[in-house]
Amino acid sequence: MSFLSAVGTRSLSMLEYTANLYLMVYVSFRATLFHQTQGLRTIFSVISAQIYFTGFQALPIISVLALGSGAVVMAQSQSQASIFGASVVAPFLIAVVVREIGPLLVALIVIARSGTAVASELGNMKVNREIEALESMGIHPYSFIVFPRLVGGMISVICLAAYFCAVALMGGYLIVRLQTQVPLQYFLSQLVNAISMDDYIIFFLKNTFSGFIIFSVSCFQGLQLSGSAHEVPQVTTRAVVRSVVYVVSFNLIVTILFYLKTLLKFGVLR
Amino acid sequence: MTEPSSGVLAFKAKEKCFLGYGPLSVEREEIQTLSLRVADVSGKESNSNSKSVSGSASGLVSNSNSNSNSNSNSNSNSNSNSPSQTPSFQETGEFLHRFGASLLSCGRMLIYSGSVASGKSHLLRALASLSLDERFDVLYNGKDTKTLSFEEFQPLRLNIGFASVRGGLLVNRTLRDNLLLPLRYHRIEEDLGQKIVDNALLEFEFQKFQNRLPAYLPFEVIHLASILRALLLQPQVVILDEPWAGLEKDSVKQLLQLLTAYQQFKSDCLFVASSKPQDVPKEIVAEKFQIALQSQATLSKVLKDAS
Repeated sequence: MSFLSAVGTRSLSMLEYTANLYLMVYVSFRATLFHQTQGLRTIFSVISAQIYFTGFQALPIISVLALGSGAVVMAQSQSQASIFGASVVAPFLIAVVVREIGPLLVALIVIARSGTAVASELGNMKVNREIEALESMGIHPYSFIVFPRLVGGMISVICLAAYFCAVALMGGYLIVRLQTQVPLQYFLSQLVNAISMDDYIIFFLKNTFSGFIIFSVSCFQGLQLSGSAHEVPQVTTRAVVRSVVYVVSFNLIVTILFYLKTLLKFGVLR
Repeated sequence: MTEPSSGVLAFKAKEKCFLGYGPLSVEREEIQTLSLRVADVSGKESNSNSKSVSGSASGLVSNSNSNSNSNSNSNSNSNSNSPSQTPSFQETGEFLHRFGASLLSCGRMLIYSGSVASGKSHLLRALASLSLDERFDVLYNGKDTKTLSFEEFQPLRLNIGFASVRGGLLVNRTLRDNLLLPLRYHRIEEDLGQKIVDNALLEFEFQKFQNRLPAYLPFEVIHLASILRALLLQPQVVILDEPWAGLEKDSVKQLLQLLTAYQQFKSDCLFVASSKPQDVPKEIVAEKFQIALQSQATLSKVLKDAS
């Protein structure tokens, strides 16, 4: 009974947390899009700054990671190709990089770099009474702080994931090139043929929602700070843990649903 | 929006300009009355025991249950004797009483003078609708701030300036960007905003600091800049939390000059400030402003401490 009670309490608190999170996002969008007294140019400048910090500045680490991942995946798939035939390599690379590794690794990197930064930045803003100052100037904190970070973060995650996939596939080609004399054009045509509409859907679904989850959770945790500086590391850690859990869970659910759909399509499941 | 008068900076207030410019066209609601309604001891508002104390930026005073000095005294006593109130709030209660008893007419400065942790900042934040307190309601033009959403309160909020003792400058923006922020956000023309900020920086000789982040600014600059920022949108009610705390004499003089200029520019403005008694500059009580304090004894104490 106590176990059930604990599970129930935990579930209710998770539901409440999620409801509050969505409420914050709703208010931030409503305040930005329907609040007529403010100018949008300030908000656009914050969005572009967010894209710069989250997207542009993460390019070096993403490049290294993507090159390495693509090379490793291709090295593994080459060994499998000797068993199952070379035709499986391109679909395998696409499936692993575009659908699975790309969205997940990019999300983890963004959580580590930007999720922590946003949570601690907002926490410090709360401590320094900057949010109160914004409010006193008639600047809606959610439209000025949450909305641009959310939108900028989502755009950044999608762009980073696309960049990750491109570099990872090139890393894969480098491994192929070391072993065989396959021309780049042929390799690319194989990849293009292997990409399906499902891949695009999964790619955009996973990355858009990963960005949404990371930045909404980070903003929410940062704004939850009650006013003492010693809580900043705590809210930052909480933001990271919750973002990782939610992103991984979301990716897992999408993957399972996709493969269930595939199994249904081929008549394995009825 | 009136045309800028060339070369006229902040303190030439006779020409009805502030920081070189006339009134800004910002969509907002004029504040006619500012009232505090104190809840009953039990926290519930009741007509018999609650008191509504009001001030008006335009010089009119409207007390909903006709507070005179005498009945305010009794209210204050009942308030401060309440067992449910913390000791620190007793002084706040006294302040509310003073607030109600004092005529808040054009261009006056109301100073809430109290000791450390007496609730000064809390009350001022409540007046600026930045915090809520169940023990009292803040009403602007008869509207209870507790019942208004951010958007609903916005037209009134744009007529309220607030500067906290911590400054509240955004740490990731330069001093110049911090000053420009409210002007940009509220769609003041970019050129006009830039000129206003130029004049403000020039007036305080802050040009050399303009591209620095707050972390690299002296305390006095941060403090004065936050007050300056609160005035840039030309609000009617200016709420200043310990405006001269920690400032040196020259900076206090500069600040008083700025407030004087603002008072002359905006004749219906109302300053509400908090301060420790010993921090109140003697210039204020001498001639620049009239302090709206009910008790002569308290005023004498302020005068004595200030001198």
